[in-house]
Amino acid sequence: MAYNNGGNSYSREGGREGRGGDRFGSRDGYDKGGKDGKDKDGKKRRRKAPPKEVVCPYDEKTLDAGLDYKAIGFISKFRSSQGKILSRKRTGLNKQYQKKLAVALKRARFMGLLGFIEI
Amino acid sequence: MELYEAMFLIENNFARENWEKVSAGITATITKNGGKVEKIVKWDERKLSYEIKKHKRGTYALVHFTAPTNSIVAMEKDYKLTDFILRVMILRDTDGIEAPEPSEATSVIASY
Repeated sequence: MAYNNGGNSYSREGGREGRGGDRFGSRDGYDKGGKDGKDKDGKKRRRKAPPKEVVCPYDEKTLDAGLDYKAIGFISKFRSSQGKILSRKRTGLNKQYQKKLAVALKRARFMGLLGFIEI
Repeated sequence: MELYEAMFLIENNFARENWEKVSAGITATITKNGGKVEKIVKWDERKLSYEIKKHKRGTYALVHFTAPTNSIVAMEKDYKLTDFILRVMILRDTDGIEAPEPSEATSVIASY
């Protein structure tokens, strides 16, 4: 870590041994183009934060009873403010329950219980 | 014979004044097609999320019935021709005839 350039936080990670010695190491995925953590345009490059894993807070019993087109209050929790169905990434449901949720929401929309869009 | 669950959206004024006619009309179509009504309830009266056939409010009726599978299409056809029924959805019932009240259904979230 003797050649640590000021401001380049990436060079501290990954066990890279300085800038001068290993020429190949300086071209890894993290600091393309710049020496100080900036890319060609001079903009700071930031590593994307890893996506947060959402865990569904409801147990199976609640989901079995709640993922029904009549339980409008419950299924509305899985909608965006525009009325879109949230993705599995956001709901944390498994494939089976996500499918049930989508079907329930679409049935509720058809019966006029929920809107297709919300303004 | 299978158990079915049907939800009807009924014109509000008509439902308020003569609910007997509504339930009689729904029952008549089911029995005519060889089915049997298990339970019929006035589920809720609410504002619709969007206008359906120029109506902004409506009454929902929830009906559980058993009927032969091949009679459902004919029933749907009949209901679509009925004046006071704005919309109908007939589903195979998997969770029994004990339907949650609209208030109960909404309060599932209240405990969380």
